[in-house]
Amino acid sequence: MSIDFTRNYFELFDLPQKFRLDILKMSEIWRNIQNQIHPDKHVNGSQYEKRLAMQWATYVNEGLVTLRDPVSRARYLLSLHGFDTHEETDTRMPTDFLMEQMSWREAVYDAIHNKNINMLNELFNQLREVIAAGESKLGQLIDDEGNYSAAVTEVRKLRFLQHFSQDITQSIERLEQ
Amino acid sequence: MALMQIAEPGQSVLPHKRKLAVGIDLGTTNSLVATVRSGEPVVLVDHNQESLLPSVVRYFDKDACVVGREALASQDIDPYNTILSVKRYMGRELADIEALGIQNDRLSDAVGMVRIRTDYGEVSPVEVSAEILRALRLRAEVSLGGPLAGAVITVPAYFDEAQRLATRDAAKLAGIPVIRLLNEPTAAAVAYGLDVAAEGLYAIFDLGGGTFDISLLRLQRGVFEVLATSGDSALGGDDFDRIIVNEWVRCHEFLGLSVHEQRTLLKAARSVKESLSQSVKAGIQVKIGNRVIDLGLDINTFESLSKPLLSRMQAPLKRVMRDAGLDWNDISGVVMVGGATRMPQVQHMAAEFFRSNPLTNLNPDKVVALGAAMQANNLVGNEPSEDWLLLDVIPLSLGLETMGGLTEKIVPRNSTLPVSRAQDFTTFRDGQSAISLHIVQGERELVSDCRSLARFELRGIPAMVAGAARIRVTFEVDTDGLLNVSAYELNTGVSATVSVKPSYGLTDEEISALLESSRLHAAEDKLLRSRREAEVEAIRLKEAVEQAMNKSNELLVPGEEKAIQNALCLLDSALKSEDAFGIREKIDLVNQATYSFASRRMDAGIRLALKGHRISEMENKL
Repeated sequence: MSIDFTRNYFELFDLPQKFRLDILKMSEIWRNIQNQIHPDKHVNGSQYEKRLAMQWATYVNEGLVTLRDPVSRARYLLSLHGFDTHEETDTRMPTDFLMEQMSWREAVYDAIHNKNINMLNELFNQLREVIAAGESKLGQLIDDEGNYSAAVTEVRKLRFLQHFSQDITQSIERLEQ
Repeated sequence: MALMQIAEPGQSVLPHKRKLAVGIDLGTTNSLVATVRSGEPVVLVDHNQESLLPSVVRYFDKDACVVGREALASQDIDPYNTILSVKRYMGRELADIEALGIQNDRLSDAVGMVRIRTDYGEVSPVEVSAEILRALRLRAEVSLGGPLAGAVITVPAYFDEAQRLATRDAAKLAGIPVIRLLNEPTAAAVAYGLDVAAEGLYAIFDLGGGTFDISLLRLQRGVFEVLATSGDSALGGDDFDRIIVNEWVRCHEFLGLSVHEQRTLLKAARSVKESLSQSVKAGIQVKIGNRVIDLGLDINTFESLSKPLLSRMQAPLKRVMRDAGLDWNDISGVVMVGGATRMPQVQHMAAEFFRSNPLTNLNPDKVVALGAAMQANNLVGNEPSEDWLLLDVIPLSLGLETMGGLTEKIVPRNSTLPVSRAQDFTTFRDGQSAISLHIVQGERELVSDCRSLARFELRGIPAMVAGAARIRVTFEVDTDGLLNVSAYELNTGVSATVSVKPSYGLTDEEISALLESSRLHAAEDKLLRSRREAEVEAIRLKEAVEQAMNKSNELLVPGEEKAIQNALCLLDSALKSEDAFGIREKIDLVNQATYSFASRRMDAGIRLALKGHRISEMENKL
């Protein structure tokens, strides 16, 4: 093992390169590593050692964030397999998916309009279930079938849904103020 | 030649090498300073054995003031020159303050932050805070017997960059070397967690004089991990005083109260509020005009008057749980911090929200300062072997302004520090040769609702059609919470970078002018100090390197040990005969000689962390 920030995050945490991941275990490993390399543990070290500690701590945090969220974990895994999800440049989506989204949006706008926080919470929970189903599908596509191109489409859909759920959360926050 | 001193076995840090470090809780109502003595955190007291310093400053002249109890006593006699709760004005413009419903006709607007008018001229909230900090610095120096090497100052977790910077400025003015600003609830968690060896998920409910914070932490084997934090940086105990005053004004039909009388009522309200934490009814006699009036309040009325304030706390409470993805039954305990949590209705509300009785077995006034002292002691390097670590988060999202005045979040709130996040942007027009980057802080979609932190430009982008350029913007926040933003165009490699120091508070010129006038740093003092600092740094580095070589001898490659020893010898002789510059030069030599050794040790640390995990996993399987 050397100072090699190109090492992949699964290797960093010594975890199998799979979508289905033991998050609790990863968090524990992350804490153990931070306990060794965090800059606050190297306050008496040389400038170089401190800088190195800061870089490592940042890198390890990046790894945690990337692997903790299922969608970003899938995106990362796909990139390791040479598949780019092109979410930034290509925003095309299947028509039926878009239609579904429109009806969701309408329900959310209605709830916002009526300042109905309970309704928003309800929609948020429903959406969470849809997202959870998508995530388990990702596990199947990536880990069991190795069907990466289908997984790309799933990631794109899930990213869409994630944004949407963040919008709902923000609306709830605004109404709660 | 002087005889060399030899340490007693097992004594980790020699007294002369021990750096004087303190933790400071700069509160809205009271301030404290604490230190770690023989491994135990203690609050430092003044000559009257008082630990709380009321955060009150009374001006007598342009440069003459008193701080603390004496100033507090004069609040109704000399209201125009006695400044209370200055923390509420830190880093805030007049419009911010008015939006909070705080009325004070002695405030005048200025760029970035209000000024307060006294009879002797205008003062900035930073200057007033600096007076409080100076009083604490002197108390610490008298008590510890020397100048401070470093201080950790606590701030509400929900303070934004402007408020944090104002706090740093005040410390600079007061001659305090700040190592880090620490979030108040996090400091409390450290003090509490280490005191009772707590493990699990804890909520820290911190209601101070002017601010409300709620933080969720995971305490596990010495690691304090902040999961999420939220709050309201303009809601505190002061607001409860104000609702009592309003109630009296309504009941007794007080009209056209003078400033003196308003202060009299506020003072009475505070004392009634405090009494109501112990009894169900409280009363006080005040003189308004030439009438002597009996004012009173019972706990039921107070509780129903408090409802709007209590319900304002619901939004941050809900948000923090949502952000951490937790439910009330995940929480092992709720720790109450801040004097205002003594109010029974606040405790009831917290108990109701978390469905468990809050822990009130520690002194809510002192716990923040104690935690800050422990972190300061660690960060100056007095306890290198101390077996705990704090992992804090950024409280507010950081982002960029995009087309249409919208905010694009780059670093989401509650990201663990240190953090680095990058995102790609592109140009809007054909042939656009520069982009302007506006860095903002906050959760709102519109840039105009967020706090502006800095602007910079990336120039020299070659002519391309709109949307063809790929500009990668990277935000980096280090463990001190300092933000660096860099931008570079991927096709051409042109780049620009900025360290974010928001233009709030005082300008650098104002600070140096103020420093000059207070003559904090006489020239010879400075020389001595800098030699002493270099000396301490050298001794520590030497010790750390020697310790590392002993501990990880197997990681040294042939010839390396010799090279490091040589550098250390040079450092030794510099310590005997050279000035600060010479010592620093040799420190650099040691640094260079230990470069790759340090890298290998860092790797070994990670291997150790992974190995430790595998062993515990095997034990679990057995």
